[in-house]
Order: sequence, then structure tokens, then C-alpha cells
Amino acid sequence: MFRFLFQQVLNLSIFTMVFKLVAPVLLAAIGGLFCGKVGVMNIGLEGAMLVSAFFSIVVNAMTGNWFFGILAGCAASVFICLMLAFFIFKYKAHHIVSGFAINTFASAITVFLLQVFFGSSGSYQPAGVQMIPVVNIPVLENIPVVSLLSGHSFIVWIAFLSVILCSIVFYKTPFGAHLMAVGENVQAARSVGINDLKIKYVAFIICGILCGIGGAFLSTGTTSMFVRDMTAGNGFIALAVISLGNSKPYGVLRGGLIFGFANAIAILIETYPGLTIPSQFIQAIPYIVTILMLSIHTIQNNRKMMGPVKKISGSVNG
Amino acid sequence: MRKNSKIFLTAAAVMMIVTSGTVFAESDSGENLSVVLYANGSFGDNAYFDGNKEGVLRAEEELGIKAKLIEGGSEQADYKPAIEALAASGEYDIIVTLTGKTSDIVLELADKYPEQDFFVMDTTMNEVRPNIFNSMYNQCEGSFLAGAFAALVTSSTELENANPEKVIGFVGIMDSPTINDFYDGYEQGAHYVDSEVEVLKSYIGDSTNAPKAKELAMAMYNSQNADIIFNVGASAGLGTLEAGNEAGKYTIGVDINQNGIYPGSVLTSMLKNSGSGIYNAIALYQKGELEMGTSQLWGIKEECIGLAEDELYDEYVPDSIKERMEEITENLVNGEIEVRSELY
Repeated sequence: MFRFLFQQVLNLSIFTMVFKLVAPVLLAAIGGLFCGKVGVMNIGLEGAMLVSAFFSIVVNAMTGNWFFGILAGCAASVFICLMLAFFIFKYKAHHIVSGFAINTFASAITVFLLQVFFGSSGSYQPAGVQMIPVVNIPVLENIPVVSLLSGHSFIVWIAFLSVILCSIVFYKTPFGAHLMAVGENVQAARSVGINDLKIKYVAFIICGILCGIGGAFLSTGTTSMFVRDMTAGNGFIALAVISLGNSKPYGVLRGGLIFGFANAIAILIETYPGLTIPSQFIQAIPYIVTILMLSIHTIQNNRKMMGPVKKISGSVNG
Repeated sequence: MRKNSKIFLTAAAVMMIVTSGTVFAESDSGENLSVVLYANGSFGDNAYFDGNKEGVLRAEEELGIKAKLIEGGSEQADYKPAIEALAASGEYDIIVTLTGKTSDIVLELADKYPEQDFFVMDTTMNEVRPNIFNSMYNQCEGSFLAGAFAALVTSSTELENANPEKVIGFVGIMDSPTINDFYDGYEQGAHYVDSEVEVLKSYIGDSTNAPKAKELAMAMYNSQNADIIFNVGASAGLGTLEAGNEAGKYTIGVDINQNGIYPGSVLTSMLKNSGSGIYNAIALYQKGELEMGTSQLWGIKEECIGLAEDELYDEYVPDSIKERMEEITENLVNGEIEVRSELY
């Protein structure tokens, strides 16, 4: 079995799977990161993705164009995120509670619309969906190893690009500085004339766009169908990945890749013939790995924080 | 005169009460049986729950019953209060519930509401009450046919997308007794045809994660050289079917006839014809021939289980496979082949 896994790594087929699994999680996580920076843990990522998955495939099937599909998905997702922001900032609702409300709402409204417009409450498989294209790079795809870069969905590239852009926005632009300021200390930000409400809403809009792309990828990139609750926890995994990445863009990328790898390996093991490992255990692998990494990470962080403190107390005693 | 009118009015009132009484009694007797189907899931899965819904609606049309459909969703805690509310209302002659997730609830309610009749379909109950009818579909038998079919496809030289490796796959919802019963039959069927066939098995983990189902199926096709996969995955299973179509390989649908979803790729479907099951039960009940208080196993003979042999099946499946399947089906019906199941 290990030889088989190793082979999959060698012939690079595992990477296609990893990138496919990682893209939606990564997009949602970067979106959630923007909300995190303004001090809100956005539980509603899942709902935003689900709504986008629905609207993107509906518009895609109507227009026969994947790009319009993504646009529609993003619009729906931004709407959901703005709704959440409205509850939190205007009416001071608790962000966890309203996030859950948003998820329940998204799950129900998609099923409701499915029922009203398509007479089905479980799934929707329209004809004429144009799938989000796969990018094949002409020269690279024939070179060993480098061919790794070819043959991935357009969205996979967007997902990795979003990490780089996010890092630039956070650390190289005034907007990024304002974002951090608002998140760290609203009073201080206000005192220097930053319109904190505007920054917060913009962060939620960005989050909506990213979740929208991720959701559209699920219904029109990996599959060409909508199934109720098809996001299946991707939004929550994104939240875990944010903490795993210590709320830093490249940390999120690393966390996402770890989760993606664990997931791909679980899928490969699961389909390997004649295995006696209980399937429940195999299915838990990605989550076990995530928890393990999170624990290791927390312990490391604590050590870093504790280090200097001990020294100071030592010098006082001495 | 005034006295007369009073008598007349009283007489009229009495008449009205009597007639309304008879009208009421009429609607309560067999003519207009009212049946409610409580689905512990949601319709629109293009599979199991839709099949049940179809059966009840067919009964409404052909048997003239009054039907009501209720979607219970996936929250298990909701089932009991919802079913109890239906029983307490006294509106329905029969309450139909599905699968083992509701059998314990019904058992409890049957004692509390002895006047209410219940049908518990698609599960085996160890004990029943006089007001419960329980039936189980022999999915193991049907999966046997699917397994035999898959083994014939993977060894076929006539089907252009079948590869030389004798590997077939199974993608199920989760590691549960019912789903494993499908698998047991599938494996037995495959090995009945050819003992060298390797059967891959994997589980999605839930019934909605279509992208994951697709990924699992893709891994079977691309990394393990499977050329046909049996989809037992409810809504998520649509992902399995899509993988088969995209990889240019074959799949077998489940529960209802899924052949038309990807013609040429979904070669056949294992019909767990729960719709006919419910329909038959209601029809027998109407005629007063249903043995309440029993537990029955319905399979190929009762036409509740089988393979979907429609015009798409005729078009895409080679004659040699069709002939072998007919032979195997016959042997199953006349009892020459025995399918072992751990559930019943």
C-alpha cells in the first residue's frame, strides 16, 4: 500500500487531487482571514459557499457560460456576507450565533429555491453546464516534474493567487494597515480618522467574493451538479485552516496543503483493494491530521510566548 | 303553524346531523383511505426517497387514496415528535415510515396509539405489533445481480471501454449494515460469475458530499483500473455517476432507474423498487389482504428488486451479457442460487 501511495506521489497524480481538494478550502480560508483581521470569526463561510454553489450552476446552465456562473455565485455570496456584516455591525448580533443563522438560512434557501424552480429538493443536474476550464500549459505539460503545473482548473490558480494577493494587501498596502488597525484596536483606528465601518464592510465583501469563487468551483468546477448541503463542511475546515496558519496568508496555504494531502491520501487508501482498516478511521484521517497539526502548532506557539517571560522572571529573582 | 315549523326545523336538523354522520362514516371507510408518507430525508435525490414518493403518488392515482407526503429532513431528533403528531392527529389511516431509523419510534408509538396503523418499510424489525406491517426489500439479492453484471462487464471484450484488468468498484454512503448488505450481495454476484474479479470498496461518509464521491470514483478508475462502479450513494452518488461519464467508464445506478442520467455510461440500475413495495402494501391493505402484525421480505419474486432493463439497456449492453443476466435472474427466482445476507 505504501508503495502504491509513493507511486502516486512519483507520477504526480496525487497533486491534481490535492489541488482540487485544497482550492475551495483555501479560497474560503483566505476570505475568512479578511474577516478575522477585522475581529470577526466568520462561521458563515459554509453558507456563503453553498449559496454560491447554487446560483453559479443555475446561471451557468441558463447562459451556458462558466464566467457568468461564477459572477452570479459571487454576487449571491457577497449578499450573504453583507447580510452577516449587517447583523454584526449594525445590530451588534453575536458573530458566532449570526454565522450559524446564516448557514442554516443558506442550507434552507437553496433547497427552497430548488423546490420552487426545479421541483426537486435534493439535487439539480442541468444540461448545458459549461464547466470551469482546465488550464493546460502547452510546453510544460510534456516536461517531467514541471508538468505538475499543468492540467489544473482555472480556479486552482485563482486560489493560489489569492494567497499571494492577500499577503500583498495585508503587508504592503495602506488598506492592509487599516484592516489590522481596525481589528487590533477600533478606538485607536477611529482616532486617526479611519472609517472603521467601511473597512469592515469591504473585508466582508472580499470574503464574499472569495467564498463565491470557492462555491462555484464545487458545483461547476469539480462536478456539474448541485446537491443540497454539498459544501459538506468545507467552510468549517477553512476555519480550522485559518487557525492552523496562525492567521497569516502563507500559514493558511501551508495548513490548507496539509489538509489537502491528508484528504487525498485518505481517498487513495479508501479505494485501495483488500484493506482491513475500518473505513471510519480512514475517513477521520484528514481531521486527525488537522487536530494534530493544530496541537503541535499551539504548543510551539506557547513555547515561543513563554520563553522570554521566564527569562524576565528569572532576572528579577536573580 | 308555528308549532309545525318548529317540528319541521327540528326534523331538518336531525336529518342534517344524520346525513352528515353518514357522509363522515363513508369517508372513513375503505373508499378514501388516507395515507401519509413520512420520509426521514428529502425528496429529489433521484434515488431512494423519490422512489418511495412515486409509489405513494401512484397509489393516489390508481387506487384513489388520499396521499400526503412529508419531508422529515436529516435531523434525527425531529422524527419522533413529527411521527407522533401524525399519529395523534388521527387524520390518517396509515402512516408509512422508512428505514431502521424510524422503526424503534414506530414500535413505541404503536403501543401508545393502538388504533393507528403503521407501515415500516425497508428494515427488518425483530418484533412488531398487531397494528404494524413491516417489510424489508431484499437488496442483497438485487446487488447480487449488479455484481454479476459488473463482473460480466469487466471481463467483456465487446464493450470498448472495459479494460483487461478484472477490477470492479463499489462506492457506498457509509459503513452501515444496510449499505454493507448491498456490498455483500455485490461481491457474491461478482464472484459467482468469476472468482478472480477484484472488488474495491469505499465509503463517502455522508449522503450529500457529491464532490467527494466523484473523487473516490475517479481514484478507482484512474489509480486502480476499475472499469465499472456500483453507486450506492443517495444524492452524493450522483457524483459517482458523473465520474463514470467523465472517465469514459461505466457505472451501475441504484434504487430507481438512473440509466437515463448518463446514457451509455450508466449501463443499468439496481432497482430497489421501494415505490412498488409501498404501492403493493397499500393495495393489499385496501383489499383487506395485508397481514398486519407481520414482517416480510420482498425480493425479485415480488418485483420489488431487479435490474433496470429499459431501451438504454437494450442499446448499450451486449447481447452476450444480456443472455447471461437472464439466466442468472432465472436461477435466483427459482432458488438455484442462494444469496447469503447477514441482515435477514
